[in-house]
Amino acid sequence: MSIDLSFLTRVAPTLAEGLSTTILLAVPAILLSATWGIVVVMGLLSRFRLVADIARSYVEVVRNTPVLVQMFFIFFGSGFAGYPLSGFTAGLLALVLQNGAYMAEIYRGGIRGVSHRLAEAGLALGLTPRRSFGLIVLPIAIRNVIPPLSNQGVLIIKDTSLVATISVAELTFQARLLADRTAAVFEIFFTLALFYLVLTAIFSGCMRLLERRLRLA
Amino acid sequence: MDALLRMGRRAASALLLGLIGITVSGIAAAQAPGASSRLDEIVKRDKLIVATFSTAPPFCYTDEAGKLVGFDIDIAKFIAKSLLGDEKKIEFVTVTSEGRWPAVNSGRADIGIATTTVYPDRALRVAFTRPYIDSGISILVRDDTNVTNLAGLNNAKFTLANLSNPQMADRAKRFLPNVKLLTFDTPAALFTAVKSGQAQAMQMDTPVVNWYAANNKDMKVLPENLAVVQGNAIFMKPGDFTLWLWMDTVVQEMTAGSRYTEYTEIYKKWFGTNPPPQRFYGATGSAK
Repeated sequence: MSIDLSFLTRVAPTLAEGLSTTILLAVPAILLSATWGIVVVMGLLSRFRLVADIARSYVEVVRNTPVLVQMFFIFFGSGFAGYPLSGFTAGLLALVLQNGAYMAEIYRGGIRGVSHRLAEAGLALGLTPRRSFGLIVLPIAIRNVIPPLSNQGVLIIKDTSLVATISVAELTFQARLLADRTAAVFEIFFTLALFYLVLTAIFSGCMRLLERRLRLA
Repeated sequence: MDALLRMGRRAASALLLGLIGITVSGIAAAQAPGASSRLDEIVKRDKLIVATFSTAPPFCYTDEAGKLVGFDIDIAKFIAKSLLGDEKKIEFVTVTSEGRWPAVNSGRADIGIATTTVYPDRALRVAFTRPYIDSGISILVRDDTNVTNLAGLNNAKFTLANLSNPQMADRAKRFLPNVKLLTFDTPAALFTAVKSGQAQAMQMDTPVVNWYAANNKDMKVLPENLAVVQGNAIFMKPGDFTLWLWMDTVVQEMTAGSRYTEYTEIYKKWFGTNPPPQRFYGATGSAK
């Protein structure tokens, strides 16, 4: 196997086109998953048994089915139902539904990881349970969840490649078209991997800066 | 900032290692001159390994019993029989549309038979035999569109499902510039898109489209053929003249030589009609 490097410079513009769609998909997918995760974790930790049970079943169902199957289900299913969603919308929805559940579990772990004694200390100082949670538990929990959240964000960036199968012209989709036309599969997928590497490196670099900023001196 | 720099340096060194690995393997591959033909290897192994699709009826697809069947599969079996004396001495590797090329170029499979059309840009990377079938391209539409020809379909309210190869996109632009496009990686996904209403029509090799129309009462085939000649051929890793010549000779013998009878049987089994005539000057056309 030998790599034709001049070929890479020729295909780079087409891949860059796909890159913009990948970013347009990944950014809202990460932000919406993080937000949806907050809603779900509130359900998981709810005092009301029914709400907690519904949230738990939701997490188990979406976490234990492949996101690709969910994409197919939403994309083709919405067509059969007579309200066809675009590939982009169906893909975003599947990514947010699945990763929201993962995010919720990360938040839950972060909150549970804060010692009971700290919350109790807050109560002993005369804070209400709500304020004790907000002022003492939450700030510590947020620091704890940054590394796993960053990890999940990287997973989302990589999972955006799955929407290529439901006709969204993102990075992987463009790469597959190029590979099919030219049969230069290695060169193209090598470049594709570089694009993802740069994307995830930028993202985790930002998350690391955030982590540093929040670190207690 | 420091952290970023350090990360950047680490990423760069990892990348460099990867590049060195690729270069080394490239040199290793280039330093094997005078290697014997893959054909000898196949004969010694006593088994032919063929890359094919599993979702492209009626060429190569999985039937309800989970078995690979189709025109291309029968052609592959016929080649195994011609080469090794037994059509069972064959192993199929199922691949995706763009996965066909590395399947043969990496040596995973000896040859590829996967409803693959010859295009000059593809021929730069793989070696093609002469075509073993001229498939044509037709359009399958949902009956509820009330469209009867190409001109009727060329409307912004319709969506056409394409396979993820650029030739499909080029063809759509030429014949149906007004329709919206969706692109998928298997013929089965094209069909699901049409069936689910995400698209109203799909373009695909004529025999594939006819097969879907025959099996679905709510769909029909438009009369126009979008490709004048659509030659599907066997492909393999380039540079192995002995293997290529043998494969090309088999194709010649099937389509216009001593194996025309066997070829005709396979053709009729899957398409219900006779293949093109063995001799282009034949008055009646084809084998009776």
